Formats: sequence, C-alpha cells, structure tokens
Amino acid sequence: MSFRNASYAKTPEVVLRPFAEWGHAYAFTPSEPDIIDLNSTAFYIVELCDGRPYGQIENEFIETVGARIGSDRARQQFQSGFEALLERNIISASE
Amino acid sequence: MNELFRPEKQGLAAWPRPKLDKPFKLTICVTQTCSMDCKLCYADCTNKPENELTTDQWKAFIDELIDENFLHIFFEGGEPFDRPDFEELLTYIDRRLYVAIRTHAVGIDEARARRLKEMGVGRLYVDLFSAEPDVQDELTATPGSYDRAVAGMRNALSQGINVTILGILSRRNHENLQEYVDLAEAIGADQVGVLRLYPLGRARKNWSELSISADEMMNALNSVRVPKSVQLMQSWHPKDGNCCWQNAAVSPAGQSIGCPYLREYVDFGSILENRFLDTWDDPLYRQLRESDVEETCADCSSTQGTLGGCRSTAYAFHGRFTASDPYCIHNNQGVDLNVLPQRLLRKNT
Repeated sequence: MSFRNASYAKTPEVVLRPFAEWGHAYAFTPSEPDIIDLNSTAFYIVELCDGRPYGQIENEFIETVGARIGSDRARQQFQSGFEALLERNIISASE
Repeated sequence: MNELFRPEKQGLAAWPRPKLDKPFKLTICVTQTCSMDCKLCYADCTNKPENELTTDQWKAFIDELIDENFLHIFFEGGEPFDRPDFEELLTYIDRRLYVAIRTHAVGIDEARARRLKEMGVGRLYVDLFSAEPDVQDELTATPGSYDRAVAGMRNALSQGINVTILGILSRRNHENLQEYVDLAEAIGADQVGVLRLYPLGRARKNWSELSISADEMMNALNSVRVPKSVQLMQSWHPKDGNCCWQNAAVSPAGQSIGCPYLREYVDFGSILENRFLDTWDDPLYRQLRESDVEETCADCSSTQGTLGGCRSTAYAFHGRFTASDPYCIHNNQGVDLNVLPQRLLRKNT
C-alpha cells in the first residue's frame, strides 16, 4: 500500500513541546532518543496529522499555506516535510 | 538537539525570546562524589556523599518533572555513575524524558554501554581535560584515565549512543585543541564542545595554573580545523549567550541553582520544600532570565537571541549579575582573566 493511501497521526509516544511565540516546537522521540527542532511548517504538518487520510492532510496544508506562497511551493514544502517527519517517526500511519 | 528542520527566520535576533513557563533543559547534579581528583573540578568532589537526596527523593522529583511536561534532563555530578543508584534512576525514567549524561566515562564498559542504550540514554558528554594521555592522567590524578575514557566513549558509540567530547579550555590544552577534533573524528564522535574555565571549586583553587588570557582563548579557538563529520560547539564571541532563560539545575542536596555554573552564587530554594516551578519564579531567577544587563555585545546578541553573555562569569569577575561578561572580547572591559578578584580568592582560604 502506498503511504498516500494511509491515515496519519502523531506517533503516540512522541512528546511535543510547542513554543507559541516562536511558532515552532521541540519533539522528543523516545524510540530513538533525540530532541528535534520543528520549524513552523513541520509543526503545522504534525498538527494536521490527527488521524486523517494523507490526501486530506495535504489538501488542507496546501489550501492554508498555498494562499501565502503559492500552491506549487506549498506542495513541495509539504511533501519534503511530511517525508522527513515520517522518516523520524514523529508521525506514523494511524491504522 | 537535532535541527532536522532549520528555523525559517534568519537569525535568532528576529525572534522575541519566549517567556518560558518552564525551562527547556533541566540539569540534575545527582551527586557530589567522584573517584577521581581532577584539578579542573567545579564541584570540588568528595569520595563520600554528603547531604544528597535519596533514591526515592530523586524519583519523586523525576515524577514531578514528567507531570509538568518537561522534555530534557541532563545529569552531571560529581560523576553520576559513581552514585550506586544512578542506573536505577535511569531505568525509572524509562524514556519518559530525553536523557543526556555528563561523565568522565572511565566506567563505561561494554555491559554498561549496552544497558544505557536499552535505557534510552540519548547522548554522553565526556570530559577530557586534555586530548593527550599523560596530561589527562595528571589532571585527573588517575593513571590510565585517558585510555579508559576513550574506551568508554568507543563502547558508547558502538552501541549507537551519541558522544560529545568536552574540553575545558585551559593552560594545559589551549595549544592542542585540534587533537580533540582529531580524536572525535577518529572514534566517530559527532561533537566537540569547548567550554570555558569557571572559577568554581578546585578550578578556582588552581586558577593561576590553569587560566589563560582572552586573546589566548580566541587564538586557540580560531586555530581549529573542523572536519565535516564533527560539530564544534563553543560559547565565545560572537556566540556568547545568556542561556539562563531556558536552563535550570538542581544541586545534589536538592537546591534549585539555575545553572551548574551558578552553584556557588545563587539558591532559589529546595525542591523538597517547593515545587520546582515555584523556584523558577524566584525574583533573582526571573531577573537573570530577563537579560537585565548593563552592556551587551551586538554580535553575540544577534547569534544567540539574548542580551548579555554568561551570567556566571559576569558575576564571578564583577560581583554583579547585571555586569558584562568578560569572556566576550567585545565586552571584556580590560579584565585580565588570569587574575581572580580578591572576593573569589578569599573563598580558597
């Protein structure tokens, strides 16, 4: 199954600590212990991952961010950010 | 910290410093004991524990931190592994916090390294006062300590535990900083941290033997060639930040002290009598975090997003928490770092 057909959520054991004034967050990943600095783009993607299917997450990101930077660039940012978050196990397929 | 996603704004100065409701990192100085007798020791370690928190008291504090959504805990000492229950405390944390440990690493054998990996320890920060075996053994008063420390680092790295080699910049290593980087590259450590010499504990007593001038420090740092596989961390100009805004520390006796390098200067109250976050609200602690300083270096402020450099060294040399940090060459104000103020020298008697 392609990863685009799955639904996604923040990996349950990952702990997020947002810094609202900076618009970013730190993520603690206990399975491979590390603290990862998420910029506002990455943090937003994690917030969108609430168990929805990939397509819905991507669409909402592009709708929101694309209004500011253009759809093509927003899609590019989303895809690279999503893949990096997946690779670091900060988000994962929810079922 | 791994910056997988780099900040989007250019330069920290573009950001307002967040007013944190809790520190980002909390250091637990878990013990004052250590089996070595290092000339550069800030804690003035002893062989026997005195008035240290019990296992259950530290466990209760760990629970408090987890309940308060803390993320990052940093253990140091003394030597944490010389405390008999230290691994029990790590097991108790059980990956509920990111754990880093500052250690001399001479006790990290293969079996311990495996256990640390299983416990989820994220990184070891290993003190080497010199990257030359004879000098390290002399400074620790422990023959073989260099070889055992390097073996300890190799054991940790072989288990996939990250290692940062720490060198305190002193008379005994300033001409050989390159050797730290070369050692890191040779064993596969990804970071070298060059730390300043603080006039605390035994380092204060041995100051005249160990200290160097600000110019010698800058020359030493500028002479290092860093390969791509190694990150060099240092806090001199233009990277002299006031990190009080995000850090915290607790002494072996359970006193909230802001930072291990403030250990002789402040006391924000006991964690046995207060919630930690109540001590975080201490008026002096708030003042240190506000960067209420007389002068600041524009270059350092622009890279660190804070006003004023280290508050510990500012206070040590000037006796005021609002003073300039003399370790920044732009804010040095003629302070000779080789000479301690009488106020500090009197502590040696």
